[in-house]
Amino acid sequence: MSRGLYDGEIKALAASQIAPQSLPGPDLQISVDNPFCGDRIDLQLNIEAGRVTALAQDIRACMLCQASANVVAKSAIGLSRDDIEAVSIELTAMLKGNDSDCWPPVDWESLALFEPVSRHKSRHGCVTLPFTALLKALPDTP
Amino acid sequence: MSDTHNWSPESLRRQFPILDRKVHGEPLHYLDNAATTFSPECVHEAMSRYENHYRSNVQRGVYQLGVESTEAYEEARNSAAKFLNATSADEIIFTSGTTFSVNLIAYCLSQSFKPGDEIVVSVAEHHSNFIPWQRLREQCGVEMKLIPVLANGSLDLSQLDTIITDRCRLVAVSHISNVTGSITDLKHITGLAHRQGALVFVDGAQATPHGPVDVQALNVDFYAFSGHKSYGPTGVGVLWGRRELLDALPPFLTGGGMIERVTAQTTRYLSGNRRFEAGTPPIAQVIGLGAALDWLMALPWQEIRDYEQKLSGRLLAGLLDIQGLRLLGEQAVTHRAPIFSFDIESCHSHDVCQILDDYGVALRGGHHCAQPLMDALGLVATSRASIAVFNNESDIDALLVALNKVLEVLR
Repeated sequence: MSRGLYDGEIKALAASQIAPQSLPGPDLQISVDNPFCGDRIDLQLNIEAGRVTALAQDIRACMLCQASANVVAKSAIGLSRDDIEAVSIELTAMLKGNDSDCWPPVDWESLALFEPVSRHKSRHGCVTLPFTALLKALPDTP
Repeated sequence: MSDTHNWSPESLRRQFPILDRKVHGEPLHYLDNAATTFSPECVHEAMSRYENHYRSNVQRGVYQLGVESTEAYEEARNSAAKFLNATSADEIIFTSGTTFSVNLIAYCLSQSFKPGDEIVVSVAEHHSNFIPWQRLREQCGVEMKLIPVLANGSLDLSQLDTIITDRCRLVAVSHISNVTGSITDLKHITGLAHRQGALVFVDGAQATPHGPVDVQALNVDFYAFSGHKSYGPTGVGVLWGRRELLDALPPFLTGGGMIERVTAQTTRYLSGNRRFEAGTPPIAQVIGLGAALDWLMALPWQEIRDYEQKLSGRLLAGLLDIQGLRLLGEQAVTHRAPIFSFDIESCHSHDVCQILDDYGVALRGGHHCAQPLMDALGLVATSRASIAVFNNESDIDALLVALNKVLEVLR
């Protein structure tokens, strides 16, 4: 059942446009697709010393992916690839049903809204796609 | 096998035990038949009979079980030939499905293609009838030309005579679109293609669930379809080709079952269809497919088509009543197959289909393996309802009621 997937907070999060659709001079850009459904994120980043300083994204995706992308847009600024990867690992563990004392990660509390998605394996990729995009775009921390 | 004289939707439904199950406590309303149809009991029984009574390899053993399995396997080939109105069962190749069939034809034809040759494909093709031709473009230097689509996703054939030139070697199109339900004007395409000396390959995966096909009347050169979309098992399909063309093609896969003689130095291959069935085939699935095709051929198709159109009309009326809904394909039920893709403004198809599932309504959401078409239409995904012979008014009504619930949640 989809109960909890489309609560008001998720809908509001999906509807909020936190990041612009493009940056005037992006340092990095990438397009990622969810092959399962065709959801697509065109991501642009500015970085300084390996940390995200600005983020833009053009999202053509379902509500869950849009909501997740907006969480990323809100919380990724100032973080390094390692920081974001740590959050991504926690998110994936939560979706797979693995309990963790670190959940939800500090400053990423709104990811808790996606807990009902753990029951829907076919939708996990919708929530993780924005993290996949970010991690693909960011270079490994030296 | 069904009794054509006592056909009714309810009698047909009783042959599909899966329709008795519930989903989330709701009756199942399965409308994803363009992806996979359910199989009637006679298909399961045919496969079970093989497994329980004469399971053995085909074309090999002289013992009784081997004889029986070979007979059943070849009987399925006869059924496929009859279903397609092929001139001979020797024109039927069993494959794992349409994807395999397209790849087989692409590989075999490519052996004679040269740079500068042209292949014509439509923008609306399923990836399985698109990517193999893209690969040939990369591997053989052939040019791939595209038939465009109209705003509703149906093929735009207005410039076809300039697209198919004397350099065209092959036109590859679907008989019915798996997204729009549009029916391709194959006679028009075949006429132009043959005039230029090109062959015509048809992906019939969405046509065969809606009744027998006459490949001779269509005047095409190759025709492929899948078992799992035609009330048969998964993992099996049919490729039909004109005998003289099959004889001229090189083998695709090599191995046992496709040779006349192997020496330490060389191999002489069987001719015609046998050349293309290397290794042990999916015997149970082929026998199940034969049962499905016999079952399909026994249905009263004029009545079934009238029935499908009645359901389609009911669905179309309901869909077109929804504010912000964009329907792909033709709007007249007489000019389309019962496959309905739609996009609802501000509602992504995955969210739509997720909530529909709460009500036992099974629809496909996504790009339907037709991303070039989605790009051409400015879409990333649609929701798709596809009707089979066992669907009824209750299924249509359940979808329409549930869609209104979806809108309450998402809007």
